[in-house]
Amino acid sequence: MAALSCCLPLGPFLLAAGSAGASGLFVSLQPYLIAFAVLMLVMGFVQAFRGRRCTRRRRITNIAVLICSTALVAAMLFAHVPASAPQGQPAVAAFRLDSFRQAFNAAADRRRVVVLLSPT
Amino acid sequence: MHDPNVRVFVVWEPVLLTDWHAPDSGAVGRVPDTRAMQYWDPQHALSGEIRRVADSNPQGVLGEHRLRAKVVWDFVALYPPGVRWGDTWPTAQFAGAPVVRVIDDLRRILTPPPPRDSAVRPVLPREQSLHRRA
Repeated sequence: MAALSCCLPLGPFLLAAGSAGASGLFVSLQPYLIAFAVLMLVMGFVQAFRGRRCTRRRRITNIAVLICSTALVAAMLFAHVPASAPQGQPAVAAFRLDSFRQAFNAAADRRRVVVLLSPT
Repeated sequence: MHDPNVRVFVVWEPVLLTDWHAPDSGAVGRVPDTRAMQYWDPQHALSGEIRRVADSNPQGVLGEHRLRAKVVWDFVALYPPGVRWGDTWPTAQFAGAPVVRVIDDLRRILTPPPPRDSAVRPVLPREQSLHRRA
């Protein structure tokens, strides 16, 4: 049992980091994968702080993986927030078809240019 | 291309493997013009809408030069005043992709011709000589 409590936290942390990373690739599954990543992170924390009877070396490994996983999941969460718009522009908005249609039609008195781009 | 009566909608969407995050300040900073509004569309909602209409009218919606990708991207389209988005995405006055290939054509359309009065009138040698005599 002691060995299990030391080794198991690695699993949730790696699952958390893996699903957070995968959410970058599978855009449609992003909300579920991120929720799963956060859940695994919480499980990992709980197990890491329960397993106090581990060897010192094992605990250091757990803490290192914990920090890396938390950083990766945090990065993925913040990656969903677009950067602030340049001065004089409205904030970068999360795209919604209805609101975009309204904005497009609201500017029907002038010429409109629509551009679709990849951020990188 | 400093026409104040132009509205620009920039829609960022993930297409490449490196697009795992929303556009950062470097990306949105590439469009500093105050006539622009910027969006982040991770679900490709607009691309899907355009693609749906383009299936029946590729020339009118996507233009003459277009990419053969499932996702509509690196794409620019111009809509004249009065055109509204009703049930379906409207046909463009001009559209094309990739942007780098069609941007000069778009610039030509957007740039109004110079007014006739401001055209430089060459000074004839005869006129110059008349001024000297006076």
